Amino acid sequence: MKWPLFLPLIVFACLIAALVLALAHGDGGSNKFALHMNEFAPAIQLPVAGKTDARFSTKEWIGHPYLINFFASWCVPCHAEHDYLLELAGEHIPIIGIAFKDKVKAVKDFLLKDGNPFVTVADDRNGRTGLDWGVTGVPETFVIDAAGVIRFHQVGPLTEDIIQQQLLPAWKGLKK
Amino acid sequence: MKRGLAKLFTLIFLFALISPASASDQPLADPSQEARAVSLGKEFRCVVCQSESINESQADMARDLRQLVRDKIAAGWSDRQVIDYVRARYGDFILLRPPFQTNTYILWASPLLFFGISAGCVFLFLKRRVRKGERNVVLDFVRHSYGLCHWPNRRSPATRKQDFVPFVNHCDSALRPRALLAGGKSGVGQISLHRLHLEA
Repeated sequence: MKWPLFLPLIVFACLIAALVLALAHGDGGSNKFALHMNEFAPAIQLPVAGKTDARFSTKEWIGHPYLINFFASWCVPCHAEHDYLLELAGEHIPIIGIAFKDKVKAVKDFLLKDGNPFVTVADDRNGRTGLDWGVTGVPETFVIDAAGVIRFHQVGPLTEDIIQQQLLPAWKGLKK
Repeated sequence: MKRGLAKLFTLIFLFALISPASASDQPLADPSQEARAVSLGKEFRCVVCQSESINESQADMARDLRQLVRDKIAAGWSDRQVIDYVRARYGDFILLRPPFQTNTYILWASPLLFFGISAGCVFLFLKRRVRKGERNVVLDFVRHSYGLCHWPNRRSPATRKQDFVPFVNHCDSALRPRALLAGGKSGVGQISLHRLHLEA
């Protein structure tokens, strides 16, 4: 048999098989940037949105677990996850909103209209805090434990499944 | 129709003139620092449109990252420090050039690996034919790579360099008219002899 003749065909078939497998089992090219789990959360020092004298600092939250939610009024998926945030707030989970590259007035209008799930809204006008947290866009949500360590990191909007299967278990794990 | 096309191309050309990065970027005053910022910007992947560097991207996040790079350089950070800072926050994927580390050894070695495999295949192929008693395998190989001219006399097996010379001359005379037609001046035979020197 002239096997070298078939060799290119075999190699090609292997390549196709590898590509099909990657298509079927790959993650569809979702986020490949770093997920921040079990790392100390970067300290935040930001003005509270709409207040000139008040500042928000993560230092004051050491000892208390909380959620950080990067959002913006101009971000469509943020509106999509808003009801879930309100639900979480209703379960007495403190959520700190970081208004990412947004105008204070737009944020205010958004929260007055759709409800405010946040205990504090910090104003990250130039997005520098977002970069410091390795945020690739909005929304992104973090669960921070009492020691200031990130225990859960969600890139993109929260969904029912993600909340029930990942976020809430992570949150409840902190309480024990 | 033709004028419409001309207009379209003019428009495309004009758009190409607009430099994407300069829209709202403020270059650093020190040209050497600015040059460092620009060359660092080529290293980072835009987090929004992931196949572009932050220099090429017009996304807001890319502009912010460019500004961050400039600020850090202005603050006296070294290139290494800036890269480490960004990499610590976004992971290895932010680097457009994958770093050489344990999980990328195969990636970096793959060109060499594939070259080795194909060279091995060619070697085995030729060896098999030599074993079969076909003594003019190298000649066949040369003929194969030229494909255009045919050795007129198959009976005399060629093994030494001298044996190839008539073949090459034949190729030369067969190909020269075509080379002339194509506007080339050089003798094809010179190239062939040079190749033979490498192969024989």
